[in-house]
Amino acid sequence: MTVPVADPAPARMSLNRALVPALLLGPTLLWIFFFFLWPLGLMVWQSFIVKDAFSLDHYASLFTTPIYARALWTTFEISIICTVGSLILGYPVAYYLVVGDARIRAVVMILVIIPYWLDYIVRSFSWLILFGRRGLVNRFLIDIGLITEPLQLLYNLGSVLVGMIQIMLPLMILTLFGAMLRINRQLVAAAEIHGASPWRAFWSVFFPLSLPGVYAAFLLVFIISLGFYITPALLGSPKETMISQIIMLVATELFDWPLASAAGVLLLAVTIAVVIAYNRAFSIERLWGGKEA
Amino acid sequence: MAANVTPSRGAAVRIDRLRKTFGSAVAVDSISLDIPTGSFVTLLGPSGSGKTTTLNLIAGFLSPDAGSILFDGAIVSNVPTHKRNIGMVFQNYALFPHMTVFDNVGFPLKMRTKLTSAEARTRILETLALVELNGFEARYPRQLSGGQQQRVAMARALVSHPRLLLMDEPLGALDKKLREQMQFEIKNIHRSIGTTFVYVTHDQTEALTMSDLIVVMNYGKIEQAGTPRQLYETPENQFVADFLGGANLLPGTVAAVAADHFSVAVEGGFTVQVPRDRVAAKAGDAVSVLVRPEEVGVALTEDRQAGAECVAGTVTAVGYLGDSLKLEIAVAGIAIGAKLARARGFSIESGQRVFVSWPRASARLLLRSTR
Repeated sequence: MTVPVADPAPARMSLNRALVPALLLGPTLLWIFFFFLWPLGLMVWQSFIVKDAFSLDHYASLFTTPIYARALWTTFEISIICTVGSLILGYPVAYYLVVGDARIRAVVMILVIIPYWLDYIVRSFSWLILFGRRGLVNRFLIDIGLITEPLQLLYNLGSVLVGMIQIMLPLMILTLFGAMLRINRQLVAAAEIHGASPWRAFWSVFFPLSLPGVYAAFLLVFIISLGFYITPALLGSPKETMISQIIMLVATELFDWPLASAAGVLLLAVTIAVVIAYNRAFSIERLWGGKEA
Repeated sequence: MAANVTPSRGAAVRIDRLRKTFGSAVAVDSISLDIPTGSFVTLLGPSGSGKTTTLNLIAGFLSPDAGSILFDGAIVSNVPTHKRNIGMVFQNYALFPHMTVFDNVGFPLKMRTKLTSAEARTRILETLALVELNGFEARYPRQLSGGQQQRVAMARALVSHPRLLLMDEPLGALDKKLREQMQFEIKNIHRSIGTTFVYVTHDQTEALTMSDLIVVMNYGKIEQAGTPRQLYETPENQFVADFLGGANLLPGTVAAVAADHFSVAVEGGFTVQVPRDRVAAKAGDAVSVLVRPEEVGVALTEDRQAGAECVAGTVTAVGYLGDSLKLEIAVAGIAIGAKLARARGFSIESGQRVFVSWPRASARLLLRSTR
């Protein structure tokens, strides 16, 4: 009987196999653990504690005080309208970026990206200058004689949506653009040569193929919209108070950290539920016969 | 505009001084061509020869800079793609990934005809039967093999009985065996439906197997158009001779012109005779003598027969191809390729002295192209 001699090479390989992923992923995982998961766990923990004992009191007060539920509802309402608005405005632009004339395309791309580089607080403030009682828009309308008294353009749902859509549009456009770029344009040519007018070719081929990108962009913009804070605070009235503002208020003005934590956990839970339901509803891969290769 | 969907007759296509440039590059250089109704025409050429651009101009995906395209005598330059009543098989099939096989094949019917869904269903199943793909109606393209996708693409192109079918290297993505099988199937489909086929390929075997008419293109121009036999046996220039099949092109100079043949002094120092035909050459012209490898005989002893050329050389390479033996023989510094059928039992080695011969009647004189 021969005793198998251990080959040193595979041992070193398996060591490398364990070490390399640890080196590549370790720093980020540690970072996420200490600065995201750990505080998140603390927040969840805190939301269930009243006077050193487990309790659902904070959640009870969230559900019994109408202001929280209303803010949560307002948040979803504003986020949906903002996302739909961004989609309607962004889809044609993204489409043009894919199919349009190359030179104009470059200009449009720059116009889309530049606002993306600007801080969104700066962008929110700029609407104050434009939409104020003596802002550019009102002055222009009075100058051309269309109105005599300045319009109330700020501090309502409209101004919040204008501000938010303006901030979300570049993200919407770029996400859609990325998805549309992957659509095989020869399919549109195939539709046209087999009798579809350009209009019908778009609706029967390009549009359905762009839907996975639409769903992805919609979800992305919607989730980010849920967390908006500065823009509704600057451009909205109390009626447009979003949940993040409430959380901030409770934490920094009322110093009720456990209650703020409970509100945060509630927002997180509802958001996760929405994402799960959304992915169930729009699982494109299962249609069209299996996952994309 | 009511689309014509009668299956009776293919379109006659006339291409008249068609020109297309991309920037400073001339893709199609004022070509003219007549494609008879119901014929199978292949545009053959290397990449960049303008064959695909010509196809895209016929399809209406591109508009010409000059010249015109006529279907049955009517100029189609201002007819948009979707009203040209064409079917097309794309190189990568371009099947709609979000539609089933049934809906893919039904697409042209939905766009072009007012058939009821029952009539459309019958037509779709008929067409799927034509390409031998019944039972796959509910599948999505990505659930099919390459060969099956190719058949779906054929069915979609044919279902509305278009007057013209365009095919852009449709077999390029298939393996060799499937490709050869599909060549015959495509030819059979063509024979059974009578639509005009315009087929683009860079594969000379495909072109020779299927076509009624081959149009050899190079640098945006037509080098020669003719039947497969005409192009193979009587090529008009070196490019056509070389592109269709193996070709020995022996460089030389016309030494003398006799009543029925040219005498050509081949570089390297031997003289051969070439039958005299339409080629207008005079003494002193730079020419090439075309000898097809399969016409070349190889013998170990000198066996000079009447009406044949025979020169001595040395074998430099031997390739065994199963059904034949491929040899390269150096004759006075010029490499001559030979393809010997019935290779079994015939043994020959590199370095061996041999005698190379070919029937004089099989050689052909080509003027050396100046390009």
